[in-house]
Amino acid sequence: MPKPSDLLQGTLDLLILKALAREALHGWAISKRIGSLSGDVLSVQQGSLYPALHRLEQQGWIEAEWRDSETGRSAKFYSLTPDGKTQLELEMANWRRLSSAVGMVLKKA
Amino acid sequence: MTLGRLLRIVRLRARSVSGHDQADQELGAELAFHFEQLVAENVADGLTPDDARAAARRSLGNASIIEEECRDQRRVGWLEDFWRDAIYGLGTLRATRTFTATAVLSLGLGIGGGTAILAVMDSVYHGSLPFRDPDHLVIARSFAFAAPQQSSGVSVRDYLAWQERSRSFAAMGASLVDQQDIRFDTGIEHVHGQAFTPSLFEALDAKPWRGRTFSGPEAERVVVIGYELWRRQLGSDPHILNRTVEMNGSAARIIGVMPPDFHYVVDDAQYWVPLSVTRENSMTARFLIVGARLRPDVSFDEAQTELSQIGRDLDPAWGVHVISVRRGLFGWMLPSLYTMTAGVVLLLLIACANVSVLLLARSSARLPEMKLRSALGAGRGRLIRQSLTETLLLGMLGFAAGLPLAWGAMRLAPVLTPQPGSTHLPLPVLSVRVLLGALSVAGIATLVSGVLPALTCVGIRMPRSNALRGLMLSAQIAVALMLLTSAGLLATSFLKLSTREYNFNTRSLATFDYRIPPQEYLHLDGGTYLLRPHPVAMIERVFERLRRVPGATVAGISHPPVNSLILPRFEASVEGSSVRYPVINFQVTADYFHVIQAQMIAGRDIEDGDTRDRPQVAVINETLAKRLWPGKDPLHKRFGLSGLHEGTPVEVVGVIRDIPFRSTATNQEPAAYTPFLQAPAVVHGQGANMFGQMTFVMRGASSAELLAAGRMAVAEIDPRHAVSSEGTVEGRIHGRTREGAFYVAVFLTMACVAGLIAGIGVYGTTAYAIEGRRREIGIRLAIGAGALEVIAMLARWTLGVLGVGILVGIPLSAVAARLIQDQLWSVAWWQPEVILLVSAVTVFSIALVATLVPSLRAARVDPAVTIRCE
Repeated sequence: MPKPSDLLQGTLDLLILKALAREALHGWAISKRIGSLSGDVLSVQQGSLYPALHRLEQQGWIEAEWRDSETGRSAKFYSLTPDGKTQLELEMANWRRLSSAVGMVLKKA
Repeated sequence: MTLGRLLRIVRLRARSVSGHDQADQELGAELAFHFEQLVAENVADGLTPDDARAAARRSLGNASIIEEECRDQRRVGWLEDFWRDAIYGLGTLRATRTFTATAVLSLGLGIGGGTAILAVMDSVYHGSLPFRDPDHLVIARSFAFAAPQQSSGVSVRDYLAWQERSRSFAAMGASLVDQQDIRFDTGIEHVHGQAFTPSLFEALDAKPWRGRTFSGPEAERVVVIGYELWRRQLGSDPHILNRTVEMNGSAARIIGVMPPDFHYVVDDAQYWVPLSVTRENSMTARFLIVGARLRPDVSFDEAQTELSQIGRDLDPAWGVHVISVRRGLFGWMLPSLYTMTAGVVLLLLIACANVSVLLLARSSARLPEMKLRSALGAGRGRLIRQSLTETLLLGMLGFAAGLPLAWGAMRLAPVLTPQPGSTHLPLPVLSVRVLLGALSVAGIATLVSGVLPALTCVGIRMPRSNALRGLMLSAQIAVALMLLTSAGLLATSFLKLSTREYNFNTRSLATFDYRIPPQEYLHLDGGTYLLRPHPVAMIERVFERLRRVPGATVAGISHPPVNSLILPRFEASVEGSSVRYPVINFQVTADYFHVIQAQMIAGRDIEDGDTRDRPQVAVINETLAKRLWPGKDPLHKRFGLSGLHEGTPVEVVGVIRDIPFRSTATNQEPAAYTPFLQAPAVVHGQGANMFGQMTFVMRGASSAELLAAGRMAVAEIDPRHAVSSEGTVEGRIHGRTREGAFYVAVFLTMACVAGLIAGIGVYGTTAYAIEGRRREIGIRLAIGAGALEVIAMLARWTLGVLGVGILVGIPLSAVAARLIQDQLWSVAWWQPEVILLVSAVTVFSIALVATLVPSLRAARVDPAVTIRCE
């Protein structure tokens, strides 16, 4: 069992897919991107990030490629596959539905 | 899932397996890169390089745990584990050879038997038949609601109504059995064949090997011949088409040859002649066999419903059964097949229980090893998987051992069956379907035998594991006992059947059939048949000539005395009562009962003086006497006999002890034997052609000489017709009983194997238990226990287990015997002597081998050796 993370399991997958939506990134950059996009509210633990990346890769949503990073060192860059893009849209729609539903509950309660 | 994604996943999984090391390397590099970035960030924040590293390490945590989690995402860990477990398991199995051999042998016997049965079942339900798309072919049979078990042929009236009104069928046709005297270069031969309506060939959609089949009404007499007839009697003539042969005295043109494997409903047909079913035929006699092809969109049940509805309008007392052509052809072997399947399943269960018990005994010995592995971090799931992998290895080895066994059994079966090929069952083969089935059987067997040991090995303590083991051994013994008893009952029944009393002397009684084709004397006149010229005259001449054969006594009966395919059923009644009793009415010659040496209870035999101008007489059997005049003397009483002697009562002149008509029949039917010379000149449809046939029986020194003399005598009087079915009465009886021999032998073997496996199980467990108590035994012997006491101590447990097994097994056996009651002949399902004998023998042999051998060995060991042996 993966260790309990600060984020819901499915949410982390969604964030990773979203972070990769515009361009290919390596793991370090993904964690930075998620941090910056969330205004430093969300920080992804490495212990959760890498297993999640490998899981998404094994599921065929993202693919990996080794190339030189901005520092000149070789790094593993992840990018969305066509299936991954569809999956991202699907998960985003799901998330919106869920969050609006939760919002409604909170408002009425 | 899109195809692209599927391919991607497959590629990744393949890489995880094959490029295992490279993937690990890349993982390390990836995490190292992250670590470097973290350090660089920390340095940028103003830490010294050493502090930066330490901080990075702190925030990253244990890198190897992350690596392990990433590796888990590859989802192929189980495969690697499985591979490791398999190799380890093979090593373990090799180290414990006796155990492995025992387990593999038990499973192999069970799986092999299962595979053979699967192959036979596959051949019954899916084997190729000489028709196109046989799964849409059906056979329709009539039955009287008064006796729904007994199916009969279809009447012309029903057949014509079905053809006109039904909408379920693409084609429907009828057939009849037929026999004719065909003249070949070698002489006249009596040959069996069938008459087919052209529509039946259309429905079966069977293609001829040469030429054509009938397509509609033919302008002349034509015949389609079988491959065997073409090869054997017509010298494989390549220009056979359009040749003419003389059949029953007139020429018929050969228009086609059927392929070698063609057969339909009967197995000895060698030619096919056209049959035309019209309203001219007798409408109500039920003699047609109707076959039809369903329309593709019509189900079985719909066809059944439709024909039933049509039938209800015609005659409410009769119903119709629509059965698949496969059921029609092979239905008769299903009861034995199902019994054998049940036997094999039980055998497999015994084998599984056996392996389970052996594994349990071993897993308690392996507990320390498992504890160590557990301490080193193996989870319960992991250990269970390992244990199951080992069982799976056993299962697969058993599968491998079972296949040649199944193959051998399937090759042996056709050799041992009485008449090879007589069943026309397509030869069972180990097809892919059968192998897959067998593989799943092996898989299930693995699970069944492996679950308990797997749970035990991770220390999930079974409550009282010793008791559990005992329970499973008892169950094995109970089931083995059940199989042995069933086999014992079948064997007893078979023995009784083959030595049964026929109430006449069957020894050295030669027999052959003489038959005048009905076409030569039956003339339809309104609703009745005229017999002209009366066949009795010719038969009388043949009979008188046969009587002059030196050194022989001779008599005749209209149907074979035992195992006749057709029995002439009529009705009997007594004056003053409207009750009509079913009765079987044979036509016999003078001296019949004297020649076959039947036991006369009262009165006289049929005599030469019983002719047409004398009063009608009959000899009846005991059962008819009791039925018609219970408790009274039947002699010289009169009764009515339907059909043949309508109007004129028949006088009873003799009573004989019952003669069974079929060797497998247990209940005796009422019968009347009337003189053939008193045959009527006009008959209603049913049974009309029995007056043109006679089965002669001759008693004398040598059957072969009698038959030769008989053949010559017939040729002298009637050169146009040949004799057929030459043989001996014993041979006819024997041919039938032998069919059961193979079945009984197979079942007996299976039951003995079950007993053997159970014995092995008990032996293995006992030996294992003794192994663990060697030291204790040594001490006991050293401080003065006698060998006998030690043996008694060791045997107590085993004998208890045996006792429980027997106690449970006896009622189980009774239940099983009840289930096979229909297959038992003259043996009660509760046959105490069989059950007791079988249990006594089972207990004795199992106890002897399984307990005494290892105990004796243990008791004989020098105590000094065992105690020091630490």
